[in-house]
Amino acid sequence: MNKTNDKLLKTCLLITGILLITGCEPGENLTTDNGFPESFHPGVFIINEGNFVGGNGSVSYLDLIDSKMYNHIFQAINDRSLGDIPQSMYIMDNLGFIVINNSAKIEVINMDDFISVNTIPGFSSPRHFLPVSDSIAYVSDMFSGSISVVNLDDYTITKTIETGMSTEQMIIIDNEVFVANWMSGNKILVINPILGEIIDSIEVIIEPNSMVIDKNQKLWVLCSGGYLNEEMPGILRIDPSTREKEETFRFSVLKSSPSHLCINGSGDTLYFLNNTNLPARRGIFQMSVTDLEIPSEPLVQTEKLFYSIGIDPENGIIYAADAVDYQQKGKVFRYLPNAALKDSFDVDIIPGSFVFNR
Amino acid sequence: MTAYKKIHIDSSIIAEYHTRNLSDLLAENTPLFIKTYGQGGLATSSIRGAGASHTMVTWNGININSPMLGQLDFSLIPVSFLDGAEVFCGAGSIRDYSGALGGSVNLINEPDWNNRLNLELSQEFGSYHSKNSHFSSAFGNSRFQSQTRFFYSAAENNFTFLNTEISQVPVIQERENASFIKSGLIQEFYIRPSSNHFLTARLWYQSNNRHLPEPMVVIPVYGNEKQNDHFLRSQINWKYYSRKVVVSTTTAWQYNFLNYSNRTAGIDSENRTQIITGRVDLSYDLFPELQLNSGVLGDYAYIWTENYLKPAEQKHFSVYFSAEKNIKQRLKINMMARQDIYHGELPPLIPSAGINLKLLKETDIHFKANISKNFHKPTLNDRYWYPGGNPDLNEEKGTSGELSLDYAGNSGGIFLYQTGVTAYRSKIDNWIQWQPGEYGYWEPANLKEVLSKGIESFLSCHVNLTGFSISIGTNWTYTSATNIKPSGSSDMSVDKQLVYVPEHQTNAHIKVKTGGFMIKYSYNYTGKRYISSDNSQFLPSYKLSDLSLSYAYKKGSNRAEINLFIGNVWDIDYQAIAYHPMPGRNYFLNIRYFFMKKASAKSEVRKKIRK
Repeated sequence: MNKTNDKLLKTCLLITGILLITGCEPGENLTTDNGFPESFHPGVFIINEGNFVGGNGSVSYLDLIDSKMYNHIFQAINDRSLGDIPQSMYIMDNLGFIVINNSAKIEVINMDDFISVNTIPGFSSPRHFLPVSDSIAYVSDMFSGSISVVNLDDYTITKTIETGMSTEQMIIIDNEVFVANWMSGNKILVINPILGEIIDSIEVIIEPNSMVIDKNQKLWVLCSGGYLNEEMPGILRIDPSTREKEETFRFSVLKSSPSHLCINGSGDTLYFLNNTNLPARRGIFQMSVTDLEIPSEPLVQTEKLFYSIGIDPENGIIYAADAVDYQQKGKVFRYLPNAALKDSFDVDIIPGSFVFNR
Repeated sequence: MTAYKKIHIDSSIIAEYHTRNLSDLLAENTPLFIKTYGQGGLATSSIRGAGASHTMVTWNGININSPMLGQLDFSLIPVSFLDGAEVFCGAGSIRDYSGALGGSVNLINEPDWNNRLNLELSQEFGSYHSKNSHFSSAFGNSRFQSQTRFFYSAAENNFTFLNTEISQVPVIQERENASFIKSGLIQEFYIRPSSNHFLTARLWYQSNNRHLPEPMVVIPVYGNEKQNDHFLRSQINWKYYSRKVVVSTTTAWQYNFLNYSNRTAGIDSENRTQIITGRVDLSYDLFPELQLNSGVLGDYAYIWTENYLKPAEQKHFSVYFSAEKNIKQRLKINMMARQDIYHGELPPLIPSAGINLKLLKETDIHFKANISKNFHKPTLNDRYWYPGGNPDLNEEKGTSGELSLDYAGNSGGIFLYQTGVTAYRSKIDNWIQWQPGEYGYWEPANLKEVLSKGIESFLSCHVNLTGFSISIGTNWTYTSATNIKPSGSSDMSVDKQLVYVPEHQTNAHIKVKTGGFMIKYSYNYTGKRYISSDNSQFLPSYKLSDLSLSYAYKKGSNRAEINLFIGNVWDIDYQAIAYHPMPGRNYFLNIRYFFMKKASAKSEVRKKIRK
């Protein structure tokens, strides 16, 4: 065989190979774009916490229309670091509020182009952001023992609401704000945003770490039982109008650390993460709002420990984050509602939360 | 010359660094990589890609690493408190302790028996409100020496830097929360009642107060994070020399108090450590060509800390034996073995063997080779930190081997040169790393397996002409340190360089002396360091240069010296740790006065006692 033939054969093989490979891919191909998005279609923001005092927190963005992944979008667009430990993000109309815990600030983002339009400084250890009216938002805090009240017209902290305890996730229902007293706590505080005062508190289980509202307007609270397993973890269903605990579902294994209570778009199915030392009972759990007990078997059982999960409200696709060794790019696994693995993609260091922009 | 790699830092280098701390001395004169947060900030070392707790630091043979963290902060050791230092890369440390999977650093204090009276005063002022004072006095005769040294060092450290991370347009900011105040005292007594007895007593007290600065992406809160500690270290040593036997016994007591506070997080924790050590070493010249060494060592550590559920204690006992055979003045064969005992349990035996061959009869060229095993016991924090600590962690196990070629030459006392190259390979199994576990809090685990391969080379030249001398010294180091064990299918850290271990590192200096004048230019290249374990993020390499100019004036027993030190001469903007700014060009002016009265020439003839 002469040289020309050899070359031709190789080219043919190469082309066939490419066709075979691309032909085998599932319908929806995810590609990673090294630049940054021109505009923001419906998509998912992934908040990568980065390492404590490592200053390497970042935001990744998955464009669900073009199926394109972008990493470090804040850095790429704003030409500076996002900060130390971005904790959560809240989308309010045209603005995004990224709470950066150890930088003790909030970056206010224009959602059309992701350009930071303002930085709100002056917090202590901020965790979550929640608007309570058109001009006022609350910011919970891990260490300060108070909630900061932010004026959304000029982005300043106008006052604080003393709680005397750590505050975490917040939810507004019927003009009342329910605040989880997570770290070393066991309460849900109820705040009237018009008065700006705590009007009630509901005792739950130790360390309520996440909350959702279901289709019946019931408040579901997931409690880890304390990070040293002081109490059996559990899930509570509360009627926010009466502030009565309607149901308390307990886990069956004390050495469990459930977290990340999420709900699907129709508000009838709960999801949460549970890490136990029993690999068979480790993974992503699914529970109907009508279930009478917590399922003992996970929907998605995993050898690895997922760090966080999120549920796409449109189609119920489960996003699960693997932080690997906490020093490298994390990986996101997507599961269909029936628990089948759909695909996976790389994000950045310690993917901690998913924010759906639908 | 032994079969193991040892770098000796003598009193002349110590004198040049007398206002600085051990981290500067080691970074500029050895192949060690020093990871530093800047002046006054934590400085730890990595030897041959190993971790900070794999460097054992001993003070005249007594381990001074913190039993809680397993490491020592080099920034807390003032060079003015030392008379010398020796660095063992690799297995040479086994003779003193187990655990130094990377290597060890021994800090040396020793008497000058020719001294009669010595006074030294040194005052330095420098950039960022830095003040360094040093006072020492020594007196005695050929049978007794006392030396007292005191230092005080403080700095605001409020240098300006360009913060590129806090806003789109970079802003010039002043570094906050980086100030420190340190002071200490060291007292030594040396008694030589007869030529075969030698008694030593040393006491070292030091207090360190510092603020811990935030990374530049965090808006500083004044005085938010602080660390105050003080320690007392004491040791008594008795040596007995006979014609064939040397016996050395040491007892030591150490106390350390550390208070860490973080106002935002509501942390104000106290930690107290006490360690009592006893050690006996025996050296026996069985035949002129066979030397035997053996020793026993016991230490007891007691830790009281709010971070453990209850006070922790560690009982450790260790026995070693070594034999060195000399064949025809050309070949040395060395065998060592050490057995440790922790609370009655026996970790694996540590064996080591090495050779040193003089290749040519007339030339000072040596080939050295050694192999060894070693292990590192998990630190007390690894075992007892609450929550997370795991008492069932396995020891980190090391296996290493090295080959060296060393050459030294001398042209009629005018041109002296020394050069050497070492290649090594080492593996550390069960490498301990902390990461979040099942219950969300951080836990240590035997996660990695680290393979290190590398080359260390050095060259030093000295040209001595009448009234004029030039010295050049350089170290070039290549380190490949990779994790070879995946933690799961997503783990991309396999075969990637460890974080904060540069592959390439060089230091070099040139020094010219004439009359009382001295000019020294030093250069340091630190290659890129990865900051994520999959090597997707890194800090760029940097080249730093320092310039030092001094003039010394001597009259009789009096000597005065003035020195101008310019750090970071080319005003390089760099980061040693991600998002921790480092100072630009900085200046230090030092004035020193000495009064020295030595023994008369007649008594100087007396041989200096063998250490």
